[in-house]
Amino acid sequence: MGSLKAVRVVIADDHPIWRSGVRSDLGENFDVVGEAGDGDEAINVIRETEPDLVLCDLNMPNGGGLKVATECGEMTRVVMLTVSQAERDLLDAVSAGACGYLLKSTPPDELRTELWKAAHGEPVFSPSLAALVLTEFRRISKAEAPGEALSAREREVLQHVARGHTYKEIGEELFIAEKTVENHVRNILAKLHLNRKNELMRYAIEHGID
Amino acid sequence: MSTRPLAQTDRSLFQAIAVVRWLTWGWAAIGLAISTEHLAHGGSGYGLMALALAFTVLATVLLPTNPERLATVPLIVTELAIGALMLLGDGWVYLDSRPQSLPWAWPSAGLIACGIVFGRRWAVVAAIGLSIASFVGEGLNEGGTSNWGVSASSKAGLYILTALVAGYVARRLREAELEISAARAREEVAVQLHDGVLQTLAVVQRRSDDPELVALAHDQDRDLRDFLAGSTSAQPGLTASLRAAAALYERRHDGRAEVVIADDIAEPAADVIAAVAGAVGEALANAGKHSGGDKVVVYAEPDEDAASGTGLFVSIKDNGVGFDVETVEESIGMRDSIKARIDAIGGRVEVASRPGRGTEVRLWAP
Repeated sequence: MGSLKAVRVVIADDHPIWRSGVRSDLGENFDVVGEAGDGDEAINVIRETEPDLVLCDLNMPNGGGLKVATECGEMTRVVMLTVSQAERDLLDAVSAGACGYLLKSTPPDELRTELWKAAHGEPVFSPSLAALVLTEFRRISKAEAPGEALSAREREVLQHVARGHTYKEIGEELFIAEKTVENHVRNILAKLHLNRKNELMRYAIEHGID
Repeated sequence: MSTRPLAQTDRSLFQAIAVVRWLTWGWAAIGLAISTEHLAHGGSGYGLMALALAFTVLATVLLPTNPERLATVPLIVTELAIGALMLLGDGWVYLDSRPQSLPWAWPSAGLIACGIVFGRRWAVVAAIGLSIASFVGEGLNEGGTSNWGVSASSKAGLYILTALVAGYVARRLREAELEISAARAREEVAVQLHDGVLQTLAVVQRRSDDPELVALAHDQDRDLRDFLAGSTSAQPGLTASLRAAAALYERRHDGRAEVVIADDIAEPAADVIAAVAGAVGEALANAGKHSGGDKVVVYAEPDEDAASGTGLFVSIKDNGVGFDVETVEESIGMRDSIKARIDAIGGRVEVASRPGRGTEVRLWAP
């Protein structure tokens, strides 16, 4: 089983003490193959080591998490680590290709569980991220901006995540498989990603940027 | 008045006044030039115009070199005095019929300056002074215009209005500038705290083996994040009271409470906030006492189905043992404290739970 192999991780954060702290928290199921102290360095290290998972601080010198998610979001799974969910860049980072985020104060066991799931393809969707995404889709539908709206089922799933239900609980309540719930969440992320891309393109066209 | 350095707002206002001075002087000069055949005492007219020009030039020169001087008593009084002289001299310069009035617009620049520097009251005093000068000046010219009283009164009204508006606008601009700089300072503090203190607290929680230290760091971390969220959020009422309820739960029970609030919620009325916060507190207390879980999510979003458009949906979900809703009777806390509060504001409550799947209390407020 491939999933039993240790997850190859790159940790990017401008505080060395933080990197060493996370490294010791990750334990034996994770293999830290590279570290970086800023955005550019992180992108280089990720390209060299091709890790399964990247843990990336949102605020770093030289680009930060947003740049890393934009550059590497398609080749590996990028999880944002942040000190506060009130950061405006968070939704941008997730729209740009990060598969989720965790608060830096998340206890070690929860951190390990969530990262293990992230490494195996599950989006790390905390309630507050789900709330951010729901708000974003409400904004789009209110502004009647062209963009992909959520289906009724996707909205329902996202609302359950925001309310703190696990995928398993959501599946039971909506009478669908847990895997289907995960697929819904992935589709929501894809729509968010697409909408943001279209918005950027529209902005560029409206402002005459090629 | 002291010669403190001028704030950016005042500097831009004085730049605007300099433009007003030149425009109004030009206007008066054109008026004089096209009415030379009506002049009775041309020399006085030219003299007054020269005086106004001298001040206009002086004020323009001071603007880049010594702008603080423009905001001092001597300069403002001098300008107002020149304005008053022009208004007084009006009748003497023309004496009989004339199509133009020499100077009415130029003195308003001095009024604006007075309003900006000394406030509305002194500007109104100066406006009354100019109005008296205008009445006297027009009165001297009685033979010329039959309706001089009307003309002087309308000028008086205009001056007083100018004084009021100048004082008011200057005050509001200064207030706005203060607010902006306060907001900027707060944002800088927020960035500092983010990059420094919160990071440190996160490291402490991660690295320390001392549970008390970890708990302390966790509390501080939460308080600080609440503070940062509160300082930027437009809805401190609901957010603050739900966070306070969550903090109480964390202090009393060995668990974490995550508060998630959609940021497009319309701030509810005070009685709704009080009822919802009370109900959430009670639901959290129930979770702490009975659920056996260690994590609760409090979630609030706009209720899009509500007819009022300001409806609110709140859920309180724990990860505890849950219970069978069919067989377990409502606890007293549930019936009295949660339902009674929400009923009182015309909302409704639902409880969903199954053994092994935690409990969720759902509230809808109108």
